[in-house]
Amino acid sequence: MKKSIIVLVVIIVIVSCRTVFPVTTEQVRIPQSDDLVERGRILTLSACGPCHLNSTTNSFIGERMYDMPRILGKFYASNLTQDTTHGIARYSDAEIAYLVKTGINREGRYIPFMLRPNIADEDLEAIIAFLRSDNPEVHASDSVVGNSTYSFIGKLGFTIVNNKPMPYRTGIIKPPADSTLSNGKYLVDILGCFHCHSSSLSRINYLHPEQTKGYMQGGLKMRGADGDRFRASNLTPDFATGIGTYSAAEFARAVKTGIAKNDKVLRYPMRIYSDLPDDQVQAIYSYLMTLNPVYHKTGR
Amino acid sequence: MRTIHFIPAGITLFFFLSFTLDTQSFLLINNHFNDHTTKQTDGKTLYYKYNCKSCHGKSGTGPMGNLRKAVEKYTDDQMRAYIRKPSDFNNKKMPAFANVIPDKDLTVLIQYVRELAVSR
Repeated sequence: MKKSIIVLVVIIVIVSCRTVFPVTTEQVRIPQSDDLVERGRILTLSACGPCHLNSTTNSFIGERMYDMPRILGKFYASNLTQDTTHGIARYSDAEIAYLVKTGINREGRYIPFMLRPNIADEDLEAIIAFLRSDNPEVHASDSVVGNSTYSFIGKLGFTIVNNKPMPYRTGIIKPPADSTLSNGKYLVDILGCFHCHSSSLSRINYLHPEQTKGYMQGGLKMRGADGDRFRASNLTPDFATGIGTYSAAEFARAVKTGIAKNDKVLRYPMRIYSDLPDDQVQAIYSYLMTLNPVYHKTGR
Repeated sequence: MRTIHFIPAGITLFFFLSFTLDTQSFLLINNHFNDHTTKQTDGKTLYYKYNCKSCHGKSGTGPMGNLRKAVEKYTDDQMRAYIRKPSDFNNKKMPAFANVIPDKDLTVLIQYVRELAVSR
């Protein structure tokens, strides 16, 4: 009895502690150019938009993350507009880059979502250039959709189990434009497809996505915006349970319009990637078709 | 361990009721059920079939888009255009239903959405 009380106290102490990680001291300023901003816009809409683009205002003020397990708490994607209080105007370019790659924000707090440690430098620069641009989608907006709150279990999970920031690696080069398969693999990584289409949020390997448990086999338990529970789809080329019967055109239609094979309507939290260029969708499809087909029924 | 005994008991009860219930009344129950569901032609069925519920919820007030506000803002023709191609209305998150929902279904669906908005 005494022992279990001590264990409980230790857990409570650990959970209430806040770990502060070292922050970046780099001073980098991303140059602005129309071309970079436009490229950044497409990337930001595809990689960040699914969570941060608000469907009502069509600006990057964030949105409630209904798909996160409620047992962990209540989560909201942050405001990425240029607002000084709620947005990212306080962040330097280097701090944004550091946050995206490592998960550590400017206060030294680890945010265990949206990690992109393998994003190429030129893509990250394009995203930052877009976020600093005068595009209406990132105009300063002081709206706050909500503040994330962790439950006790959420705190426990993110303090003990998942409290490991990614290493800050620079000099990452984008795959060559003509290498379809490498590009597909890269896009599955930076768009975060494998975060949901694998088997567990706590077993994601951000550094080596293909080592993630159940990589692209689906099965992750999710909740829709209506509260219904279901599992993420299997995206391996298995004919019975995956996307083995999909043509490139059917796959592109599903990704870009939300309408899958046989007019099946994809449901939240699957997002619609209408801004993703056709060649990139094709690259993702080609890459997925090279994966080992895995028979894994996900009930969809 | 007790629950194991419930299974054979349940099966026995099922067969007992199947054989002893009056067949006609059993059918009437089914017909009544069918009458009730066809009345909504099935706006509600279409609402579920096209997965509207997953974002807009059962009552249309779902978190990803409140349809009660939409029906106040848009005419039927505008709603038809919106559902077919949401990106024309600056909505990048809703699937485009052009060539998915036939015109006839779309009319019924919009009618159902309007009914949802007044049923508080």
